[in-house]
Amino acid sequence: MSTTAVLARGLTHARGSFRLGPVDVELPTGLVMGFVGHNGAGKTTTIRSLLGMLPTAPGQVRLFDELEPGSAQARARTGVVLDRPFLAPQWRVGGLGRRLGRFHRTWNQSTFERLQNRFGLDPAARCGTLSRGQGAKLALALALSHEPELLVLDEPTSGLDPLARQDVVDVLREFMVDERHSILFSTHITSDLDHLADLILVMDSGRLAYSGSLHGLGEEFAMVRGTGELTEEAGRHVHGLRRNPHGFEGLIRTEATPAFDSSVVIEAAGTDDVVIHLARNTSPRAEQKL
Amino acid sequence: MIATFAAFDTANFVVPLRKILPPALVVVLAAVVTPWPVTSVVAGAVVMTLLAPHHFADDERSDLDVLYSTLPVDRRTVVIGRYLSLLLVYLAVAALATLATVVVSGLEGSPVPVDVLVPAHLGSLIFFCVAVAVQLPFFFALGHARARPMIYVPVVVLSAGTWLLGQTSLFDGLDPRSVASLDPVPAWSAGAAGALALFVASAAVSVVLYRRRPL
Repeated sequence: MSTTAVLARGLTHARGSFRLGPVDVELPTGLVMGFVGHNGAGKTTTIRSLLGMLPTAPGQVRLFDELEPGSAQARARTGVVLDRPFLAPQWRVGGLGRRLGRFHRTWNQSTFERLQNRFGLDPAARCGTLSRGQGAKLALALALSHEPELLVLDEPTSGLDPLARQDVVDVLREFMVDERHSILFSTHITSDLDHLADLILVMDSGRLAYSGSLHGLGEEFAMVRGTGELTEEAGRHVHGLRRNPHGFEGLIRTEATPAFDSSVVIEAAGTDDVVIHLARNTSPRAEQKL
Repeated sequence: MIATFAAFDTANFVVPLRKILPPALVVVLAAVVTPWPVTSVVAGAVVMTLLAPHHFADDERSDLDVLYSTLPVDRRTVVIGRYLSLLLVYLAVAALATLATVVVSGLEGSPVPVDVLVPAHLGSLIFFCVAVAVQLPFFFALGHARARPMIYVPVVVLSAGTWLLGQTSLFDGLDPRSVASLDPVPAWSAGAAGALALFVASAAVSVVLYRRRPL
């Protein structure tokens, strides 16, 4: 059994004006890593690089301790669900096992059929007629049916109603019962991560803003709120400062707490607070009036 | 795994049948409506060079390039499988054209024109291999949308070839009777072997280019 499902060091990518990285990612086997950030932060680019869809320098990314991303061996052990389904519209749901299963030595047709039933997918339906939510469920069913060790999911729950989202999260939880399994899971719905993720990566403008345990995120960041004026020294530490008629609020790193006096309230930051305020933060002193 | 991918790709090429039936009909009609049934062989090659880019367009429309990059096959397998599937479908179309030629000749009560059929097949194979060998590296490197102008390669190859022949004095002063007495098969065979070599070289270039393409 490999000790590290995903290991990336100094991952970079440039496309147009967008620059990713350098990004370090380490997902030990047996853990779930949540991946959050605003649109355009670089989550999908990072995921595509880790999957070998975007070129990376040799040795920059290793899957299962030793495999290059994009190698047939790495893909055989990885299940992938991306933000858009990648199936021909004329294909029927029920025929996908016959069509795609032949590529996988470990394909389990009964798992595919069980998941089809569980997700309420009509085997006679054509892929092109499925809703976004049904497409995501079908992609998840396909990704799980070849019994992968690593699941890489790019916003699998977006577009799903709460019940369907719960179904997906339940399936992911069942997948994680096996200690050899790992998940890298990008999402905008951070509540999905609350009871699932062990680790979290927060991306902002192509760079990692935080990488560590989900619990540690609350220790690394805090929300500061106040009614008065911020001193220049204190303002330097505030990310995504928002002003409203009653005062201000913003995100700070907890190490900056001594810069604030007792007139402000400092409390634990949630995952959403971190994502929202980092996204608003073009520079630590940028502010938004409401 | 190359054979598995080639079979998968060939199935995508011909199913649903409405994709392949109109081109097949063109091949059969060429045998029926033209004075020379063997025209269907040439029609088959032309139709195939026009169909090949559509296969890439279908990939792009359905994000199948992304699917290929999640299956346990490397990019080399995808490229070689695609070249093989195109060659397989071409051979099927050529077989259909041969059948149409034989049937129509039989219905007309004339003998099967074997002396023309063999050179027609070899010439068509050359045309198909050259056109596809030039087109495919661009489609693999850039995708269908960005490499769309390459669709016109077969027309350019035909026009340029005809124009060059017209501009050169290669055939000036040739006695048609002496040309007719020559056995064209060895020359066409050598040409076909060269075209197949170009086809293989094109696949090698496409492997390198497709490996570098961001998906």
